[in-house]
Amino acid sequence: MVEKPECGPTNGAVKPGAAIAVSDVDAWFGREILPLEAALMEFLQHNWRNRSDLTDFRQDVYVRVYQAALKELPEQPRQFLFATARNLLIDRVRHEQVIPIEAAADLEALEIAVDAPAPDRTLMARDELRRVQAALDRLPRREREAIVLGRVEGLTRREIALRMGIAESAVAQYLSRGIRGLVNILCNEPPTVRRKP
Amino acid sequence: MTVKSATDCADEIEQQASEWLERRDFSNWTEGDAGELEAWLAQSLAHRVAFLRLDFEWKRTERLAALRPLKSQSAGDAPGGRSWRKPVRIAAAIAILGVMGALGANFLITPNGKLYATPLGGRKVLTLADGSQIELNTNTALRIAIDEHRRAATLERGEAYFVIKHDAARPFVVTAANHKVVDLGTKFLMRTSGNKLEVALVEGSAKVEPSDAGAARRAITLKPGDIAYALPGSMSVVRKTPADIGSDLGWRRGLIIFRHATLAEAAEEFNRYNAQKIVIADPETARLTFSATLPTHDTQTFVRILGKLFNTHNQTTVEGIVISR
Repeated sequence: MVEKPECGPTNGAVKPGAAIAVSDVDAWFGREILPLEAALMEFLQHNWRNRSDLTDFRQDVYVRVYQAALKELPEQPRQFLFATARNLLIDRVRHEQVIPIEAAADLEALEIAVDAPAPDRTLMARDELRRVQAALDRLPRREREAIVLGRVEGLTRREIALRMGIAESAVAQYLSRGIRGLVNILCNEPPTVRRKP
Repeated sequence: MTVKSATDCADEIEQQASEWLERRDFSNWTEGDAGELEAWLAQSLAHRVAFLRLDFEWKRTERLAALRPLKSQSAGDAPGGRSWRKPVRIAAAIAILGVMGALGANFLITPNGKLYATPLGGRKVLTLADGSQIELNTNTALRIAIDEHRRAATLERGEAYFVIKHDAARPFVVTAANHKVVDLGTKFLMRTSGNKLEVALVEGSAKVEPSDAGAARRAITLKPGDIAYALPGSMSVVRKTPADIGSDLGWRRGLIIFRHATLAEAAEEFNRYNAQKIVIADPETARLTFSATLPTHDTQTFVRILGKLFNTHNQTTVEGIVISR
């Protein structure tokens, strides 16, 4: 049986008495780790052939990094993130009954891959608004409409429902899907684009 | 222990997190709700990281509120860009219309002298006897005539960066597109295509005027940061930030620096340097904007980045690399 991360409460609840305040870890995580997501996904994609696992894999990496940060904030977030990802990849390969040939071959190259400079570093973070707009443009029509009414015009779910002439529950669905969609588009941007000064 | 399929797991948690965000931001959020969210977050680190990730990125979209006051008037506005081909409508613009007289046999317009040229993708630095330096960008032709009485040049096409040693007795005069730029001790950038001319003043000062002395237009003296855009019969000046001017000079380091450029502008810019052309398939794609710094010759990276940023597709045809969404 392949070892998979389990869902639910058993999976690393925040324990009382953690060394570092949760709010500090949250801030650190947002500042240092999340902006590396595009690079992390590229790394995972490159080294793990099962694409359908990737979001799960990412979640696992994040959980481990966060857990470690509760004890002590890693000094070199980038290295720490990729080392965590690498260890997880190796664990997975060991636990797979059939080792994917690509994964086995690429494990040799992992160290190199980690240290390779991320591509597209030179992209600049000048026009955040335009980026967000561009992301918005890529949402399905109804989701975009709901998000625009909510985010640009500042309407509530109820007001959006009136404006769009649909049920509130439908609006809630468009909005939450829109949020996910936007975040996933924004996270696919090259890492330095997203780093805030 | 409940073991679910791996993909269901992360996706499911992400969906729940997005529902929490939606409730928090778009419904009547009470303290009771906040407590429920806290409890959900405390259940599992997977919940917490999924929520953090969505919340952190979702916050970025708060900037969309900036669009609010502009909504009614911004519909047809083109996004800003560095391109000088775009008509410049800025309050500070000076636009003077004049009727160009018949062109006289002005030596400044057709000076004899030596022709220096670069091919597509080329770059060349010329050092003159007086220590002045001129750097030619891609596909550029510059004719230079210098003797003891005068220093004159004609930018026939392309783009050049001038670092001129000032000599009051022999001002350096560059002619292009029916205008002349008279150096008053300067570093400046000139770019011409057809009958258009752009002059960006980097340091010192320079004067831009119609090369035909009979034209009913005054000369304009540029200060650092000023950019003059000249067409036959009109000229306007805008002020740019040092960063923008620096972007325009990226080519001297082999770079194209895009700041809020549309794909149409970016493709045009790349095509100045490369034989393999980039073609944007449709107007909608052409309007997408981005900022990036890219090597002038690296068409492949440009195409790859577009794919990443906008999910564009590309196809190589006889016309070049066609980009579409």
